Amino acid sequence: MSNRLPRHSSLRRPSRRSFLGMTAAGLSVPILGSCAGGVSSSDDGEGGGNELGQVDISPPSKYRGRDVNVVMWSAMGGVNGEALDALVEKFNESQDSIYAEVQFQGNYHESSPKLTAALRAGAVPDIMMLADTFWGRFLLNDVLEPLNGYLTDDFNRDNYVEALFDEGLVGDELYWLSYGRSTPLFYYNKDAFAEIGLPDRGPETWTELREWGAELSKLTVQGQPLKVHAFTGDDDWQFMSAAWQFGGSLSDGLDVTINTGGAVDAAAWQQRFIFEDQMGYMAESSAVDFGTGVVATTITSTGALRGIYENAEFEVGTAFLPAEVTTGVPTGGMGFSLLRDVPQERKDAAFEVLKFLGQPDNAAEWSLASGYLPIVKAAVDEPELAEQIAEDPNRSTAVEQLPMAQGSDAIRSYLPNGTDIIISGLQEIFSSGSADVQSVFDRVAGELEEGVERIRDDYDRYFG
Amino acid sequence: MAIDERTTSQEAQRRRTGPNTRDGETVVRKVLLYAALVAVALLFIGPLYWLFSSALKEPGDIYQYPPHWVPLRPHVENFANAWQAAPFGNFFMNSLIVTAGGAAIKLVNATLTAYAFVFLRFPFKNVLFLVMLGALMVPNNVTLIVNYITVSNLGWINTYLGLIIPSAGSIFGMFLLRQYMMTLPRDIIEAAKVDGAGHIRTLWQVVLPMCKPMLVTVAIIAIVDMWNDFIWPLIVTNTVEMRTLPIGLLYLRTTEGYSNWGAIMAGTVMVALPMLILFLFAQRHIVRGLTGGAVKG
Repeated sequence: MSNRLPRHSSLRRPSRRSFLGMTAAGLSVPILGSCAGGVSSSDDGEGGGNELGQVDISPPSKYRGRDVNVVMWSAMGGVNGEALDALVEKFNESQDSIYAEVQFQGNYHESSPKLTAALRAGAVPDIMMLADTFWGRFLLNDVLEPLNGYLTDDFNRDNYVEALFDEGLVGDELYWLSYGRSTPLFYYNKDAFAEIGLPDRGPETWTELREWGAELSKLTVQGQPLKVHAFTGDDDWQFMSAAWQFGGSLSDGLDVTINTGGAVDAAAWQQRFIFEDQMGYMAESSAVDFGTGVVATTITSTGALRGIYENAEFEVGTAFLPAEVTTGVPTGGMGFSLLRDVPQERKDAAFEVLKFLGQPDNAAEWSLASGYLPIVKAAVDEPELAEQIAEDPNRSTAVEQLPMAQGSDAIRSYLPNGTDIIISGLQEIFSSGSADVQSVFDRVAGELEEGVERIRDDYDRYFG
Repeated sequence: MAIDERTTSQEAQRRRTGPNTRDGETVVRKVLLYAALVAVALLFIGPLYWLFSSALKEPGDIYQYPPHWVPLRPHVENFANAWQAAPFGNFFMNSLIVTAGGAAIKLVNATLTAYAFVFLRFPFKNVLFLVMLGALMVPNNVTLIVNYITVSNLGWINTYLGLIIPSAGSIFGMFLLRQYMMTLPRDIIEAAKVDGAGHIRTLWQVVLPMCKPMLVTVAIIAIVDMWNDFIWPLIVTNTVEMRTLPIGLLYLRTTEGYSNWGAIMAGTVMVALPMLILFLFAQRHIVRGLTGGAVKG
C-alpha cells in the first residue's frame, strides 16, 4: 500500500522521501553508543545500566494512579487503529493495576525513526509495534528485549501458529511477537473469468495465467482492453514471492542473490508480460484498480479484502499465489517488541498487555476487525471468526495458504534501506521494456552489497 | 545587397499595411496568451477541484472511470466520517494555537533581526549575516533528531513549547525583510533621527509602515509553514490530545488495508481550506511584497 498522503504543499518543507532517506542513513549507525557491548544475556532486566525513561502519557481520570503505566507506539491508522484502541481499552477495564495507552506515531516509515530519536533522547515507549522488515535493524543495534523469560506454561509458542511465531526468533530467543500478520493473496474477477469460460479458480502457474490472459484481454472495460494483471511498483513484497516462485530469492542470509537465477527470470517474465504481451502494468494502487474492475487479477495483501468487497461491483475470488518452478508465499505485517533498557517493572507490565492481546477471544476480535490473519491457533474456534471463515471462502484462502508461507529474505529485514533500493530497480524494469533486467539487478545488487558491508558484523553476532 | 533590398521592401510593405497587421497580431497574441493562461490555471486548479469534488463523492464513485466530474448527489457524510474518526476538534484547536503563536514569534523575530542587520552598526555584522544565510541552506531534516534530543532534555516533548519554539526563528523571513528594508530611502530614516526618534520609534513609526507588503508576505509564509508542518509535530507529540491537523489526516489512513478515500479527501479539505481562504485574501500583498523585494533588492 502506498503511504503517501495528499497534502497541501508549502514552501521549504522537506519532502517525505528525503526525510526517509535521512532516517535510513541514520539507522545504519549504532543507535545507542552505550549498547555496543553485544547481545544481552538472558537474565532479564539487566540492561546496560542505562534505565530508559518513559514518554509522556495522559491517563484519563478513571485510570489515574494505577501502579504502572505502559505506552505502546502503534503504526495503525484508520479502522485497524480503532480496533487496536478498543482492545487496549478492554485491557484497561479488565484489571486495575496497569494502565496502557496506545500512541499512534504514523506508519512504519515514520514511527521507526521516531523510536531511534526517542532512544537517543532516553525516553521511550514500553511496547513498540514494528513491521516484519523493521525489527531486525533494531535487533542489530542491541536495543530489543529477549522475550523467552516472559513466556509461561499457558502462554508460549504452542498458542501461536508456529511459522509466524518463529519469525520472531533469533536462534532460540524470541525478540518479536507476531500480531498483525498477513500474506499476499491472488485476487481474481470471477465475473470476467466466467464470461470467457475460464474455470472458477486462480491459475496454478504464471504460465497458465499467461495462457488465460490471451482470452481475458479480449474483454473490454470502459472501452479499453481488460488488463490481465496489475503489478505493484511501490513495494518489493510481491516481487519477492515471484522470485521465490521462479526458484530464486533476493538474498541468502545477507548474501545478495537478486541478480542471479530465479529473481532475474521472474523480473524478465514480468517485463515481457507487461511490454511484449501487453497484459500487465505497474499499478499505483493494485487493490483500487482491481476493485474498480479495470484489471482482472492482482496480488495484494489479505488485509485489502474488506475494502475490495466494499468497492467491487463483481464477484471477488481469491486463490493461492501462482507457482512456477516452485511455490512461494511470503508473510508480512507487524508484531511487537519490548525495549531492553526499560525498567523491569514496566517491561513486565508491557508483556501483560501483549499476553492480553494474544488471548484467543481478543486475537479473534482483532482478526475480524482488521482482516489480519488469525495468529493464535485457538482464535479460529471463536464462534464469530469461525463463522466468518466458514461462510466466506475468500476468508479461508489465506488461512489455508498459511502453511506454505515463510518470512522475508534477510536483505529486506536487516538492511535499513534495502527495500528502497530493490523497489527502485523494480520500477525501472516495470516502466521500460528496454531496460536490461540483468544489468538493472546487477546495479541493485551492488548497492545492496555496499550496505551489507556496514551491518554484516552486527548481523553475524546474532546469526553467525 | 539583394537581401538588403528585399528586407527593405518587405519592411516598407509591412509599414504600409501596418495598422491592419498589428491588429491581427494583437488578436492572435491575445488568444494565445489567454489559452496559455487557461492551460496553466487548469493545471493548478485541476487537482484542487479534484480534491474538493472527491470530498463530496461516495467512496465508490471516486474511482469511477471515466470520472464523474460533478458529484450530483453530494455525499456530505464524508465530512462527518472524517470528523468522527479522530478528534478533529482537538486538532483544529492545536493547529490554531501553534500557528498563531509560532507565526507571531517568527514575525517579531524576523523583523527585529532584519532591523538590526540594516540599521545598527556592530562588529562582525556581515560574518553573522553569512552564518545565518548558511543556516538557511541546511535542510530541516538534518536537524530533526538533534532538535528532538534538545527538546526532550528540556522536557518539552508533547507540549506547545516543543511544537512552537524550535521553529521560532525564520531566517527566510528575516532575509526577505532585510532586503526590503535596504531599499527604503535613507533620507526618511535620517530625518526621523534628526527629529529625535530612537530605534524603537523609528522601527514602529517609520520602517514598519513602509514595509507593510513585505510584512504581510512574511506573515503568510510563516502561517502556512506552521499550519502545514507535518514531520516536526509528528515527531515531537506523542498523544492524540497534542496533535495538529496534518497529523490528524494520518489517523484516517488504514495501514496495509483499504482506506476510505472519501473521508480522507474530506479531512484534507478541512485542513487545506483555511490556508486557501487566507491566501486568496492576502494574495495581492504577497505578489507585491515578493516582486518589490526581488526588483529593488
